[in-house]
Amino acid sequence: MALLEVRDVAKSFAPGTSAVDGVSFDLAEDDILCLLGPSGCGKTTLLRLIAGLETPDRGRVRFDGRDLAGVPPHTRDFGMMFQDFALFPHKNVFDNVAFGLRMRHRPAEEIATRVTAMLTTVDLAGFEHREIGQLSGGEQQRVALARALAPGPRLLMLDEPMGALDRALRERLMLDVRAILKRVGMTAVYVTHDQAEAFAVADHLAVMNAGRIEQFGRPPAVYNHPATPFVARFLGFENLLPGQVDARGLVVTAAGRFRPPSPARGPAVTLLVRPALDQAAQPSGDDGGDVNVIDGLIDAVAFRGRFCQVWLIAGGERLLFEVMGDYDHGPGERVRVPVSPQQLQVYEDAV
Amino acid sequence: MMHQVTTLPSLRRRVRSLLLAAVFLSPLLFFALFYFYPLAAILRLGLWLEGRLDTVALGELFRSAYFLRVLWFTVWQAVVSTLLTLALALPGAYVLARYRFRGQTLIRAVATLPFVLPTVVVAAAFVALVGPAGVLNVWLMRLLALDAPPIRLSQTVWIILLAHVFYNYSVALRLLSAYWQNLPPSLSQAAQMLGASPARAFLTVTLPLLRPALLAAAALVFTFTFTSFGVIVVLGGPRFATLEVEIYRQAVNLFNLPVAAALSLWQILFTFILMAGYTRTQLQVTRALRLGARRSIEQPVRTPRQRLLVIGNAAAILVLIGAPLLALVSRSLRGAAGPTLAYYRALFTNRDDSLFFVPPVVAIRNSIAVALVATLLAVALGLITAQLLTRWERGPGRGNGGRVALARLLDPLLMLPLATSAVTLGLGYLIALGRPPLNLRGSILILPIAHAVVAAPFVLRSVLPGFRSILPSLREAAAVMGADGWRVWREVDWPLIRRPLLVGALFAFTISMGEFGATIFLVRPETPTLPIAIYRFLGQPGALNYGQALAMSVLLLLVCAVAFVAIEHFRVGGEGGF
Repeated sequence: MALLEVRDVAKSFAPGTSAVDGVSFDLAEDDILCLLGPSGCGKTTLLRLIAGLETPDRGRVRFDGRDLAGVPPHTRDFGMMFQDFALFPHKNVFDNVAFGLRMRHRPAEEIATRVTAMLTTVDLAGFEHREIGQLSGGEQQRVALARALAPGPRLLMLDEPMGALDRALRERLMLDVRAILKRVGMTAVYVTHDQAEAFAVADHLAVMNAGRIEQFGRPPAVYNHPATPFVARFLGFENLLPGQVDARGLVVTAAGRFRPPSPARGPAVTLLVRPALDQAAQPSGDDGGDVNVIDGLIDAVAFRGRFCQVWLIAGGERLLFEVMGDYDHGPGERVRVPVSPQQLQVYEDAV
Repeated sequence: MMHQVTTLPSLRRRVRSLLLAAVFLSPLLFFALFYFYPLAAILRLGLWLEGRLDTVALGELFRSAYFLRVLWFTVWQAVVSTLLTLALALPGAYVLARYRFRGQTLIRAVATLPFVLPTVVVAAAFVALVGPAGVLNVWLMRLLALDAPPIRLSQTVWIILLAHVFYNYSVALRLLSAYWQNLPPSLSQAAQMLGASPARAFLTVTLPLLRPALLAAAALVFTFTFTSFGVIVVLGGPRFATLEVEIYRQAVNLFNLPVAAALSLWQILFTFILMAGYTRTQLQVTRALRLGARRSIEQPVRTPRQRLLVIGNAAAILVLIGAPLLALVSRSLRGAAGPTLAYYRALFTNRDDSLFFVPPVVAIRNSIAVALVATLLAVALGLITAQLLTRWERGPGRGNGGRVALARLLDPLLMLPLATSAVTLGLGYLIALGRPPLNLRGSILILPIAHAVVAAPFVLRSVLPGFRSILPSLREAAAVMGADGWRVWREVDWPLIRRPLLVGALFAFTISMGEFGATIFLVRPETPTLPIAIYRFLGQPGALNYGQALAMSVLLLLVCAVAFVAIEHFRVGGEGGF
């Protein structure tokens, strides 16, 4: 049975707009769910609705079978990690981590053992008496995590917990965060706008757009089969071409005609062309030699180390491909690029 | 020929540098003569007996029950006023810091207005609101058909406390809300997520974090109410005396200058300690404000509870600040027979039974003349000192580090007049400037000089940040592009300090217009200023005297309100305080 059930939850802050617009999902125990989306998509509001820091206009949040409507945040027994960490600057590391335990009136010895154990878990043993101002960004993040975990919440919410950190630190810490959450066996909702972070941390992903969940699923499934053009674009796919389905089931675009792996339904569609480019493959030229081939002019080539980025202009569209290793051609040359059906995905346009 | 070409410019340069030195030294000379010399005179009178240092009289005070009584009242009314002010300002500061709502700018402005109001006007406003013939009593008497006024706050400690809260609410509100705005709301939310109830989160997280601002506000309000003078003499009557009032009584009513000087010495000591304490807390606050990145965390009002909170506080602010001022205006326009302009008209006539030799309108003219001269003096003093300080601070390039040290010493020294009570200054002038070698007692200039000493620190505080913001590279760039010294000042310095200077000048003008504590020592009966006239008329029986006092208070209120609007308009960067 799902531990957390969110049903048709909606929240609006100004008339005529909605921050969260009818969201439903289930979360099982010990599962980490990432709410992924651009800023303003409603992911933080959804998190705060679950935490009880905002009240939904409609819909239900149930936890362990219990309706949370009217339950104030401090009695929900949830933990939360804030984007700015929200560490209490007037308390030292120990008192920060101990805060939740003190609110629960735990005996002093238990608090001391628990704080030490939590600090060890986040690799900060011996930091008890440091002041918050003396900590680096990464250390503050760990203290915030330890503080949120210390009272043993039944659900942990993390609001952009890496947002205040630089890129390199983030790369390292997101794996640590997942490892820690798994080690203590925590059910968590994790908000981020960074897809790499979401992939690294999540058991399940919910990609959000304009207050709604566009796709819910496991990270590989979402990456391999983005459910909508929005999800595809958000995950970093750039080659999305407007097209029409002709009588033979081919997708006709400005950059050429393509046969998708399964028959497309139209009439108006958006075609995703994944960027893989195999230099060894020769244009097969089926159907008179111009289906699943892009005939284009190389606009730019950028060497990125393990791969090359190639920008191609075909029929007025600018397409991006990635080639493993070095690329044999340069800007200004005309090339014919073969495209396999597995690289293609078709989205019916909403009428 | 050659000879002349080389010496003439060098001679001119020498004359010019001498002139420049004279200009730069003039404010120091001014402060020495008109601030430190009178203070030294008090010190001498209080500590010097028959040519010897004598601290017996000073210590003796502490064995007199009367002095202890005055000291006790001074302290406890200040403590209670401070606590009341903070308790009222805290919820208001929360609402202003955390919520965005319509009319917020208005509420903020209304809440700040009392800061520039002269004490006499505040006192007159409370007389007009809750005095025996005040608006509330007139209403209640008519409504309940009573023969005597039901509210008898006049000459009680309550009306004093009320006026103190009115006066200091704005200072506390500004300080607290500016600081609160920089506390991330996530801190209190984090506490709640960790299991703290909202009340618990406030007590364990928000309140301790507000401590620097609370301390700074408390120190400032305590200092203001500890040295309260105008409010006490007008509203308290003869029964209540703060240290400040007692100095005045001893000096002017009993002409017991040695006792006044001894009291004054204690007052100087207390206020300097208080100001030192305030400066320390203020430092922490500004540091925190600078650290906290300005982000917009104000949220719109959403739930009914939030609406209640915002409306309640806005109403409290409007009633607290608005009611006395409205009462003042309405009472000044209303005679026994209904609406009338009689009180205003009477300002132009010289009545036989008047306690003045001149019609009250002369007091208005005097005040404006004094304020104009005082403003000119204060602006000149502030401007030159600010230029001097910034030059010296940037020191090491020319000369030595000694100048930097000197600037660091001079800066707080020039702020001392802020920490000196007006009555102390008045007493000092009375003692020092009333006899040779510097007898200004009969001079018309003594008032603008005293006012300029009080106002100059405001001008300095106002323009100093402007001067400090001018990078030397700006001047160098102008010079490289061919501007000479005067041109550089005209093109670079002037545009950058114009607005702060105007704000400083407006401050100086309103301070001088409303100055009461020092003026009452120095004013001559035939040349009263507006606040003095208001005080005298309020002290006289009769509806016409009362009405005229209120009418003059309204005029003074208008001048200050206009100046206040202009100050808010020209103030650079919103914040800033004292």
